[in-house]
Amino acid sequence: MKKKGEVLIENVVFIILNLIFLTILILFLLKQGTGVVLMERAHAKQISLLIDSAKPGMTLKVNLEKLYDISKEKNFPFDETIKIENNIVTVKLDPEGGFSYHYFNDVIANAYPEPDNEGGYTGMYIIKILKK
Amino acid sequence: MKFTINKRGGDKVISVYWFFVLILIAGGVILMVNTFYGAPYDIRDLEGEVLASHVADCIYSGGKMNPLLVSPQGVFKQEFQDNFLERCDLNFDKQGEFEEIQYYVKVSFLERGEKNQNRFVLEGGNTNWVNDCVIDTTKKRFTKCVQKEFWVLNENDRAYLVKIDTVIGKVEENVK
Repeated sequence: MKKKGEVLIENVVFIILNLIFLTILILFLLKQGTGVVLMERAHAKQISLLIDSAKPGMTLKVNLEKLYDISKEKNFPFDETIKIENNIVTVKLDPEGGFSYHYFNDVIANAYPEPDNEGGYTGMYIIKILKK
Repeated sequence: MKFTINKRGGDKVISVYWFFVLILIAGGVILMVNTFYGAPYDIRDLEGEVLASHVADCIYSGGKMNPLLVSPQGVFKQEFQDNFLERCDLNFDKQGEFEEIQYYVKVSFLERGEKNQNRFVLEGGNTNWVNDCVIDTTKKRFTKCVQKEFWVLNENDRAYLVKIDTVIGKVEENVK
């Protein structure tokens, strides 16, 4: 009778350790997928491709809710997340970071976050394409 | 004499090996994930396609050739060739930075029947990238090349085969 109890405790501890291991692994995978560096690079490239495909007079509305959440976590102002100057798109989620990507379309692109009714932002960015 | 084996001790030894295997698996997964997420997205194929489409729209739009490019009599204008990038709203320069241009675009107009003879050529960007597209595709190359071709009719119903070659460098931002 004693052996059964000892074996059971060992199995339970074994299973718990395995579950902890799997949990840590899954959390690591999820964290990697939403990494700041990855988000900056991906969004800078996506926005520059959008601007390249756009024509003067167009207004683009881009969903950047994921960036908005990250900027809130890092206390970085959302209105400084996207900068478009001299044909370069820069996406920043912290003061020391940022990724820039050049676009070839010779237009002026003005980007600003869409405000909500409560003094904050909706998480969307408006990009207006104007002729140079 | 009967020998009884105490299996309890054996289970504990196997558990140690099991955690060693788990550590190996975790290490492998971490390595794979870092390799995957560490490699930058390479969007140059898409960018080349967009550039080619942009140039195509500049040359031929709404069923007509750009009147700044070719006169109603079918004569290609030198002025358009000299200011090609400006006429097609292309900005290849990274202002304020002394870096080489990361784009190249070439548009060739061939008449029907003249397979190898270019009637007119428009070119702009970094000509150093051109040879990269000629290199055997089995070898690794650093630039991404896209080619598009289509037929156009001018006002005199003269048909031209338009070939657009685009080359995108941007190796640092797209290739690890």
